[in-house]
Amino acid sequence: MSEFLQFLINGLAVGSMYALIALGYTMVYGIIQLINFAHGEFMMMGAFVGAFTLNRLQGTPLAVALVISMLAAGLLAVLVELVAYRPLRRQPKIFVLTAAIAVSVLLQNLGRIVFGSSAVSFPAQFPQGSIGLESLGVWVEYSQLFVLGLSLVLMAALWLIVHKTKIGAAMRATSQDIDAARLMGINTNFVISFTFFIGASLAGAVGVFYGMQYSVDPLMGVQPGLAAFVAAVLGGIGSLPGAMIGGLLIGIIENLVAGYLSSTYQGAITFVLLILVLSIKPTGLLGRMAPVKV
Amino acid sequence: MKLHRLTVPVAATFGLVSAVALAANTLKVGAVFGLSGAQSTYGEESINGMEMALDDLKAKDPALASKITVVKEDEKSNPIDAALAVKKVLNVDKVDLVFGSVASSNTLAMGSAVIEAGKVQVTPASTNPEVTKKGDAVFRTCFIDPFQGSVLADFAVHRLNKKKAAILLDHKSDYSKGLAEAFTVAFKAAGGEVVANESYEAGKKDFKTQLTKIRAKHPEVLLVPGYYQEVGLIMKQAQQMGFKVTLLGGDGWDSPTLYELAGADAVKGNYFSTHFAPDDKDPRVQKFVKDYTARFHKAPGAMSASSYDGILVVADAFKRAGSNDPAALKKALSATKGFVGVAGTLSINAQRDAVKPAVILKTEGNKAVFEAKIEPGQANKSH
Repeated sequence: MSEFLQFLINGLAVGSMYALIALGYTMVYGIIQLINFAHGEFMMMGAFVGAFTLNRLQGTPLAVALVISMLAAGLLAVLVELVAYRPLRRQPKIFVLTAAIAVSVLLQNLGRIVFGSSAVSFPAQFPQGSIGLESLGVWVEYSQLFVLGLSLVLMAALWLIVHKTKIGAAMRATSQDIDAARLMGINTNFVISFTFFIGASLAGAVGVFYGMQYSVDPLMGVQPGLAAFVAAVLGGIGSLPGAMIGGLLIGIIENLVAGYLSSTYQGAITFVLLILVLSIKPTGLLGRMAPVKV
Repeated sequence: MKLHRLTVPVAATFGLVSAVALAANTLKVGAVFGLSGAQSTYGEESINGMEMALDDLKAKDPALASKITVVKEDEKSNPIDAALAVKKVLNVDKVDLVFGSVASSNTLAMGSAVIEAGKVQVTPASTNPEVTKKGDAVFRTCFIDPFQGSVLADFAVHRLNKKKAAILLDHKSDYSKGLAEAFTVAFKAAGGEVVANESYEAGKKDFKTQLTKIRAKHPEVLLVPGYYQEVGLIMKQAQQMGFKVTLLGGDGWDSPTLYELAGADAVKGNYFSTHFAPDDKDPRVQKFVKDYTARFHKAPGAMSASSYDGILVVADAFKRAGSNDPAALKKALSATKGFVGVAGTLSINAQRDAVKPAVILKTEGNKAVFEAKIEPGQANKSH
C-alpha cells in the first residue's frame, strides 16, 4: 500500500507537468487544428531562460524567474506563429504541421548553439527536503508539492481566462468557427496569437519546474513533449479538462507500470496508450466528434 | 575512334598508378565524436586530447606528424547521426582511418560503413565487447566492459565488503547493458547477490519510482552503469528521497557535469571505474594534466587521456606500417605491444581490444580522487 501511494505521488507530480504542457497542445489544436510539435521546445526555451535568470542574475527570486520564463516562452510562441505558421494558415494542414516539426528541430539546435549542449541545473534556491508520512511509509518532496500546487493554480487561472473573460469568450468563439468569429468582429489573428502565448507560457512554467527538480538541456523538451501530446489525445484533443486529466493519467500510469510491471516499459506504455485510444475511442476521453467542415 | 580505343588502356594504367600512389606515405584521419548532444563532454575531451597529442608529436617526431592530417565530424551523440557522419568522412573526405567514437552504440553504428569502405576504425573509449566483433578492421585502445564490470564487482565485494547489489541501467544503451551484465556475472561469482534490476530510458529525468522499488529491496550498493547526465539526477533524487546507498558506475560517470547536476552532498562517497586518474602521481600523468589544463583551461577527463593515447597508438602503427594501406595498418595496430600512454601501458590482443589497467575513483564534492589501480588479470584472480 505504501509503495502504491508513493508511485501515485510520483506519478501525480510528473503528470501535473505533462498536463500543463498538454493544455498548450490542446488549446492550439482547438483553435487552428494544428498539432504544434514545437511545443516541447517552448518548454525548453522557458527552462533555459529560467536557468539564465537564476544563474546569471544572482538573487533573483524564483517567482520572478518563473514569470520571466513564462513571458519569454509565450513571446517566442507568438513569434513562431507569426513567422512560421500564419503564412501557411490557408494551405493544406500538412504544410503547417511540417513547419511545426521544422521549428522544433530549429529551436533544439538554436538552444544548443546559444546555451551549449551540456546539461545545467538551477541553483538550489528552493527548500530541499521532503515530508515523510512515516505511518504510511510515503515521502512527498517539497518540490513535488510545489509543482503540483502551482500546476493546479495555473490550471484554475486558465479556466478563469477561458470561461470568465472577454478574450476567453473570443477564444471559444474562434475555436468553434474561425470565419464566423471574424464576421462577428473578433480579431481572430490576435486571438490565435494570444492562445499561443498562453499555451507556451504554461510550457515555460513547466520548463522552470523541470529545471528546479532535474536539469536543463536543449533536448529536454522532446520526451515530456511527446508524453503531453499523447496526454492531449488521450483526454480528447481540443478539450481543456481532457488535457488535464490525460496528463495526470499518463504520469500516474507511467509510474505504476514502472513500479509494478517493469521500468523497461515506462517509455513504451505511453505509446501503447496512444494506439489503444486511437483504435478504441479516437476522440479521447472527453473529446467530441467534430463535424468535418467541407 | 582510335583515340578512344587508346584511352582505355592508358586510363587503366593511369588508374593503377594512381591507386599505387594513393597508398601513400600520408594518413588522413576522420575523427568522429559527439560534439553536441548528451555526451558532448566526451566529444570535446576526445578532440582536445587528440589535438594535443598531435601537437606533442610535432615536437617529438615532426616528420611523422607532418604526414598525418585530421578532419573532424560531429555524431551528435546518437547512432543515427554517427552512421551519417562516418559515411561523410569516408565518402567525401576519403579518410584512411576513422578515429571514434566514445558511446559504444554510436561506435557500433559506424563499424559497418568502415568495413564496407575497406578502411580501418580505432575507438579510444568504446568499451562494449561487440564493438570490435564487427570485423577485423575495428580496433580499440581501451579495455572492455567485462573487465570494467569485474573490476567493479571485485571492488564492491573485496574492498567495500558489500554482498547485496541492485542495478539501475539505461535499457537503450549497449554500453549500460553490457556493463551491467559483466558486473552481475562477476558479482555473483564473488559470492554477491543482485537483489533488484531496474532500468530507465536516457532522456528521462524522473527516476523516483525506480529508486522507490530499489530501496524496498535494501541493497548495499547500487550499480548505475549509465552516462553522467542521468547518473547526476539519479544521485540527486536518491539523496532527496533519503535513500542512502553506495553508488557504483563505469567510465560513463567521468564528467564535471555529474557533480554539477547531483550537487556536492549527493555525489560524494560513490565509486566508478575509468581509464585514467588525473591525480595519479606518475610524472607522465602529471605533465599531461599540467599541459592540458594550461591549454584548455579545464582539467582533463578520462576521454582526454584515452583519446591522447589512442591517436598516438594510431600514429605509432602508421609509422611501423610505413603507408596508409589498410592491411598494413591493421597488421601494425595488431602488433602494438607495451605502448606507454598517459592512461597506462597497453597492448592490443588478438580480439583487437587493448589490455590495460583500470582505475577506481572515489567521488568527492566536486571531483573524483584516485582510490585503486587494477592491472589486467588482477580482477579475474578471485574467480
